[in-house]
Amino acid sequence: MANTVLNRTAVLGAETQPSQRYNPFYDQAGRATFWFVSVAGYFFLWAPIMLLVVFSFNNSRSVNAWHGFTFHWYENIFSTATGNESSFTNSLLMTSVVNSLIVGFFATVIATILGTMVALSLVRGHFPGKKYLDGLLLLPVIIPEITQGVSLAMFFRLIYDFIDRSTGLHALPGFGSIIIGHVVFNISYVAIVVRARLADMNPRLEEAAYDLGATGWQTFWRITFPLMMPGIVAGALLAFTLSLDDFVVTFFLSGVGTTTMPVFVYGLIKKTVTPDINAVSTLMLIVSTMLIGISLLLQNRK
Amino acid sequence: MNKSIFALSLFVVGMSLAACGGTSTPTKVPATSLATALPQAATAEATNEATKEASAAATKEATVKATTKATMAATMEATAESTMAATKEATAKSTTAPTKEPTAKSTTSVKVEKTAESVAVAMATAEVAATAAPMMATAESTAAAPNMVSTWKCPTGFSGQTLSVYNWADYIGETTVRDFEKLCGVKVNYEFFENNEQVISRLRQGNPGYDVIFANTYAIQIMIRDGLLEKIDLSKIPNFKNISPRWLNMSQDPKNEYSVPYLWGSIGVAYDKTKVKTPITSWNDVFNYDGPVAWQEDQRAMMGVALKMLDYSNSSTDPKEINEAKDFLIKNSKNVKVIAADDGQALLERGEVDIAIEYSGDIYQLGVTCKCDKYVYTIPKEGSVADMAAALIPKDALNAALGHAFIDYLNDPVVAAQIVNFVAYGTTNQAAIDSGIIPKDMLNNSAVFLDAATLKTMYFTEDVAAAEQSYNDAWDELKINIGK
Repeated sequence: MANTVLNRTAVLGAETQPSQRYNPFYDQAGRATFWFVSVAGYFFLWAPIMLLVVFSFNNSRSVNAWHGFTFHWYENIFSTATGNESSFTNSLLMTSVVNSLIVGFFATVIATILGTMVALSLVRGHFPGKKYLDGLLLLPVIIPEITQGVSLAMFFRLIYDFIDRSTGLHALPGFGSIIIGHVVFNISYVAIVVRARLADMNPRLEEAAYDLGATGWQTFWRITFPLMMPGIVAGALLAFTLSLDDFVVTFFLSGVGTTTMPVFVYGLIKKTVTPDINAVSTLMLIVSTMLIGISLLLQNRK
Repeated sequence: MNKSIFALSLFVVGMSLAACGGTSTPTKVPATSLATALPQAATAEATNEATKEASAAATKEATVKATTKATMAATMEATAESTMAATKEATAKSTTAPTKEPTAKSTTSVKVEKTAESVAVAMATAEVAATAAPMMATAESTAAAPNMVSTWKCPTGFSGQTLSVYNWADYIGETTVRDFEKLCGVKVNYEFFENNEQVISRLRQGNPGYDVIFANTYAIQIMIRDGLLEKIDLSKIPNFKNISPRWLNMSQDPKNEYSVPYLWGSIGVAYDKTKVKTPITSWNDVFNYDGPVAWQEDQRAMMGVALKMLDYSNSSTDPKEINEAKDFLIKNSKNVKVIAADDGQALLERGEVDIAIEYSGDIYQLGVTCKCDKYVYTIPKEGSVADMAAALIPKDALNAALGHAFIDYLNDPVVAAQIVNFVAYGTTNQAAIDSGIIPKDMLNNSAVFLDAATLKTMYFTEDVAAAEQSYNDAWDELKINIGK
């Protein structure tokens, strides 16, 4: 132990006070307590989620008392997904999951494209107001979601009124409004991730390409883009996960027939939360964790 | 350096332990329920499977065949025979209230009968239904051979259209919406909301396209006042006549221009009778009980109870009376463990509280889920809050005509009875009660229907407009000072 830790006496010399000399007890106790605190912290965060997962196997409609083990709820989901008749609420649940996936897909694609463009321009570009764009980009991450949700709802209301007055078309909130809302906050997250990746990249490679006669467009597609790819994919996965899980913004922007899964589960809370929900949540948890894991791995690759 | 890390870690641990001390006891897993529930669960599993297969098979058959008109006599006969076979198999008098199975059974018979199959097929269906019978207790009522076939016909011209409905979760029958989709050849967007305030705020933002919505009495009052609803054309709702007069011409909509009554329920006292030795008969029993009690996070309900106990109107607008009610509640809150946001039945089930003030349907559901009878639901003798939900058509509905057809469909006696059998809330539809489709023990179950005498003591929440802020303030103060 003493060899691996900085030996105060060796560094500071023999004039050190007794209290400053190295004491192995504090070292070991400190590590042990740190380890304990970390584990306890993880447990504290994960225990409720683990409870959710455990009760998805509950052999009863209740989510409060354990009545035995079963795969019944997962079977329900898979049979509904493959088109068999199922309970009314179950079929609505699956529709909401499909809606979530649709919204997630489109929001991710649009946000990734726009976010990448923003990141590129911030890292490689020089234009007036760059500093301000930099700051603005962080806003959706900092602003509370409820503020975003309410302001987006009001904004769309204004737009719809304007459309109504100028063309007489009665525009309604729907998939379009939800996707736009998701894109708004996703751009920031994608841009942050891609910027990190770009900052790591050596700008000399691009300069070399220019020197060798490549046009800007060629340089981008053949040099910059492939090098950025892990960052873009990481950002896209992050955006998809955030979109799937989003509740507040979706709640304020959803129209008829566009209920996503989190909003659907919220509607169920008053009457019944059956282990159906636990099962779907567990599946979404697994998918989200996998996506985030892949995203992190991609970000760390050199 | 290491010393300070150690000290810091100890500090963090100490703080987290201190924080943990304030939280409630962890969830207890009832050991007995594991052992006893398993065999019951196994049979439940089997019957679930059987019924699921039966309904899946029958509905597939029905959708393939064209819906031809079946003569009433033949259908009655077939239904009678199938129910006779079912009653032979059915276990006599079970104390647990019926579950979803009766609804599944009736719809399978309905579907097959509609295609005018031979009695042999009806018998086959009856056999399949009979295997699911152990869960049912409909021996007496089906012996009278009620008309289980819904004769509702969809007005022509709606085929291919879309209807959007906004309702609470689990507040409609299991197959009600699907049957409507098939009868009219339409698609239904069915969405859930949590509480009345959500409906009001959604409509205030601008109706996103709902055709039919549901809300409680005081919310209806608010929406009419704010002009968020469209007038309902009762000539398009012939089944309106089935509704019991007791629920018509109420104060929030005296001429029923905007609302068609749907279901009603109550807030009452639910308790675990193995823990609460003396039966609860009065609100004072709840306040003086020596043990953990849960109140309901329903501002108007709790304040209404307090106001009534002080002999004021439960929708008083006098700030002095509201304050007195708040003080009354604070004074009587010594045993309150938590103000449950609609999960009182979960707290009861986990054993965290002995008494919970809860909605009738939640307690009924609890009884069904736990398959036991240790939870009692009662209305104290001073009365309690009842509330009624009604079907409404909001302004700017995209398809109001189809909305009218849907409301008419909901008030068909057979459909209304099937809804009651599933959601276990009282229906406002008298014809449904008279039809005999609702089992006797549900009609007599106080968590679902209340007898006439108790109904007299119930009171409704009314809009208080200007005094809303006083109620909000009183409620906030109550929450801060509870237990003091």
